[in-house]
Amino acid sequence: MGNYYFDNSATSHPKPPEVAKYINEYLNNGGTYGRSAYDRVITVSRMVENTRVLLAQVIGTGLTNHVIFTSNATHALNIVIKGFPYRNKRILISPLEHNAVTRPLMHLLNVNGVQHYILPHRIDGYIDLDRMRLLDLKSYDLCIVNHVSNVNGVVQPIAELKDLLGDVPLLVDASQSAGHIPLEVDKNNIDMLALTGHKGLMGPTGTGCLFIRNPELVSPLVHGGTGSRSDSHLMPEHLPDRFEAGTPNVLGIYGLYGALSAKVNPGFSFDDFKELLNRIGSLNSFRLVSAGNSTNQAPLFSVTSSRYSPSELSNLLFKRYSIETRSGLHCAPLAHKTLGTFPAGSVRFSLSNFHSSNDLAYLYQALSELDHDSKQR
Amino acid sequence: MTQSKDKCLLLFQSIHRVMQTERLIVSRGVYYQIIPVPKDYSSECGMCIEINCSDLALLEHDLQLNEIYFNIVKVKS
Repeated sequence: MGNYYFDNSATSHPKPPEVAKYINEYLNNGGTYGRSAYDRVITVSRMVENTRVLLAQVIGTGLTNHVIFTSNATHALNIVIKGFPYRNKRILISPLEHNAVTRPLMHLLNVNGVQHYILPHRIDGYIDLDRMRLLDLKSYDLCIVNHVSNVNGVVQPIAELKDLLGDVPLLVDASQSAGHIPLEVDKNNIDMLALTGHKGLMGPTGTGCLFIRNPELVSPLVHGGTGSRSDSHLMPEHLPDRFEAGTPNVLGIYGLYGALSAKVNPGFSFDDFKELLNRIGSLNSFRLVSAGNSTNQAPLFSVTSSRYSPSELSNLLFKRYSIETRSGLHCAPLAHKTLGTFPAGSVRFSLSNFHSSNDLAYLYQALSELDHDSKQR
Repeated sequence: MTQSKDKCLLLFQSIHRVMQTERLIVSRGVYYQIIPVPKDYSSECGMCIEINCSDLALLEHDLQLNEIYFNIVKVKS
């Protein structure tokens, strides 16, 4: 049987075997991070810090202490959104943001009157850099961009965006790009980046991180014990402790270490993927929801059907073909409004390196049969 | 007792810096051990690294290069 799990944007499956191996190692040996200095603690502390180094490599930074462990990308995004000092009370966002961004922004609007404005964009939500040049960018405090849309997979041009923004800080939501696309925060001078460990990085749920270049800009979201400066009632200023109150998710971090140590080469090529999109795009009863330009396409996309609702289509795919997908709004109503698929949403297909070209062919065959059924009726 | 047997404690702000320093020490192949910070010395985290003072000069450059800030306490063995 092939790999018919196409819901990797929700959470990746399967995981590399190293994930279970390291989680098991931790369960057998125990220990916590810091706080003491006996061997069990030193071993755990070493593993947590080695994981931080691997994450820094994924992010593309030499500033390892600026990589903050979080419980997921939502947590990381909330640290910045709620701890940022808004002088102008104006934020720019992409038109494809997830509720992980828009809900904290609505909270900010209601509590502090901070307004958010949507960047000019093309029909697929790709940011229109030429029209963006017409904006008075210095009147904004912060710009937040979903690097890869979790609905249509469009990849935003974060390097060019940061060039245009200049001194305006950029927060990148890399939830769907980490593990698929080089992030290169140092090379591109990205100010802040949030990611999760359980999607493209193929680690366990409950793991994630925030990269923050200028930590003095942002107040901590959570206050508490860090195992450092214990004589003070105030949070330490130094990194990463400033943002890491409480015992970290050591079990998850061990699993993430396993994921980041593993080498999983993709079982399909980008050409295979492009061919899949082209073929699905030619099926009459389906609308392909993807990037307008395949060079801006990450390995996820959506479809809508002229015959089936998203939930009906998702259910049919599972019942008839054992294909697992996610239907509906994908926690991204703003993205669906931008893409013209609100309020019904779509069925999303998201790939991982564990897929083969045969799995992609199987997916096309299933959709093709459902398209044929539509013609018969 | 020779001076080379004197021990030095390296004290850091965070566990992150302790472990970063450990990687540098391992790459240099010098003797070290991680121990709890003795109660007589203040530190910003619970662990410190003990080395032979004779290795200090070798490591100081690496630590400065990596912008790792630390305090040194010399302990007569």
